[in-house]
Amino acid sequence: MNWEKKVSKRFSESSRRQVWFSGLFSMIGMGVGCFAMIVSLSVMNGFETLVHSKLKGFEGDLRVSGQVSENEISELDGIEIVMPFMERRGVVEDGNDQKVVSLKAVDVAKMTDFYNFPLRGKSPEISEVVIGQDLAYRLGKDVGDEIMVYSPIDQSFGFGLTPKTKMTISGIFSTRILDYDDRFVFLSLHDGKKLFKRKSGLDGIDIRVLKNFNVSSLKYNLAQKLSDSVTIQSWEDLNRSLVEAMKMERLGTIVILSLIFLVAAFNLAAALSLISIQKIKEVGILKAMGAPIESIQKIIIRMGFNRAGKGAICGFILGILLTLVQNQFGLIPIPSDIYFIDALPMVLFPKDLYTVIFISFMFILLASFIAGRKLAHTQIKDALQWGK
Amino acid sequence: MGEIILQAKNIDKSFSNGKTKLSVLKDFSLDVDVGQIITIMGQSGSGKTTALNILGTLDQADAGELSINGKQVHDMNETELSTIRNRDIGFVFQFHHLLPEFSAIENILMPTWINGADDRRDRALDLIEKMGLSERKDHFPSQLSGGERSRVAVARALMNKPKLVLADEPTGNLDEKNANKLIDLLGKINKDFHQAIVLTTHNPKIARIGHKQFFLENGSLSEKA
Repeated sequence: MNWEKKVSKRFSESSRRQVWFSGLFSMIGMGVGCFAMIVSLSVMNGFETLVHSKLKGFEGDLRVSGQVSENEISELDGIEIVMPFMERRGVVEDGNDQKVVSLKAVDVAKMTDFYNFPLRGKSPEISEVVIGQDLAYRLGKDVGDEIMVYSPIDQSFGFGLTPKTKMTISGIFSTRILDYDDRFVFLSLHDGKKLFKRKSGLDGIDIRVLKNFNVSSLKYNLAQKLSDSVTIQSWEDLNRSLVEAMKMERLGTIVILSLIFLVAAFNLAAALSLISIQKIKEVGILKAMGAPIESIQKIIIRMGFNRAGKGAICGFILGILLTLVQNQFGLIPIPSDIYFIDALPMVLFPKDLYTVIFISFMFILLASFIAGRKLAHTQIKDALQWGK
Repeated sequence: MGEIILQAKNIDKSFSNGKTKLSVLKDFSLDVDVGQIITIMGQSGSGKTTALNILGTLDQADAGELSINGKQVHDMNETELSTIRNRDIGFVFQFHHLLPEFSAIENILMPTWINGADDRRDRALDLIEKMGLSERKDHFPSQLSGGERSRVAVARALMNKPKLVLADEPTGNLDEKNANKLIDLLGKINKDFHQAIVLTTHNPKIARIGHKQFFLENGSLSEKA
């Protein structure tokens, strides 16, 4: 056994009784910190994964914007399904009630295969639309009801009047993503071409990538194949602000929960400082025998890890266990009418585990280093005379 | 004249409490040859421990030069000093200064552990046998008598086969019988291992062990005629 390890073990054992209270607190603090951080990150991951899957379910993995034909794209490897679309700001009207919406004309034959959201009713056919449940609620409409739809940009008319098309609501979808349920109205490409008179062709094509196929490599292949006039965006590019907000939220969580580690680190530094005072003479003896300053520092750091490290490991294991149990048995319920799932989603990624290990490691190291620094630099003769 | 293992030239040391300055060592010079026993006698407070601390690099002199095994201490950094203390010097303190958390044999092995040397348990067992402590090797310092602790401290000082052993009043806390036993042991070590020993004491009878005997008075060292 390494001698520094041996000395730190004996020093820890001999001082356990005197500083057990403070040592216990630093151990518990590190444990709670690790546990809280793992649980928080896994819950955030769970919800992020849910949001990602919903967004991807609505928009696909990639969007090619510009003049492009479906056939050009479909030849490439890794594509599950493509959805050509035209999109315009438009208005839906019911009597005096008018709402500005995004009219999205799509290939209705593929609609149920491409869009992964609950749909009450059926896909739209000619002169039919599918609207979101929030919009339906605000308009007071249901499946089978009629609404007026028009695109003011495309259909200016003499005397300032705009021709309106009467359409039947064939289905109501529910995504629970951002304001999508209030904003989007789906209609057929046939109706889209009639409504969007100033558009010469498709606005773009949404692409759903085969499971386990690398989206980035498909994006690269598309960029190589298609002309420079088209834009290729992933769902992250399309939802940049949301992705950034989630990243900031994650960072904020890590910073705030690190404060638990900070408090535990103060406790640890206090406990180690107490031990250091008790062990000044022994350190003087070791230095007189030729122990270098770095070794003394290592001994104190090892003592720090011996105490707080155990707490951190316990918190770490408990956090992982809770995540596994929650995923297996769904112990913590959430309202399914809001979230579409009935148990709190918890997902752990290896990088989060590394983050927690790194943060706890750094705090223990820092606290131990600060506590041991003074001791390691104590003059030998002063240390040997300590307590005389 | 033999090979010089320790050379101190014109060492000065004083302590200050802010207002007054107390000069402890003045022009302190000492040459120690390999295999030589040097005893330094002096009253309590005469500066014996300060002198030994400086000779052993545990403290720094205000002025003067010190070389150990031909190496100038003044130019060394803390890591090099640690190496010198570990390899070239063995310390025996008045209060033994054994590590209470370690058994007798572990205390003796400690300098080799610090040195990073392979397990030298055989040598430690050999030394502990020479000290007559074979039965007590697994006992902790609190379970040993004063004389036994002193002998463990001597064995520890010899563990890395240093060329120089510095003993600061090693008999100060022992009764006469144990003190004589320890002095005989130091004499035997000097003969067997040919190590230089610098020993401080206020006891003239013990000082007689020295090949050269010095007095430390008012900070200055003078050799007994």
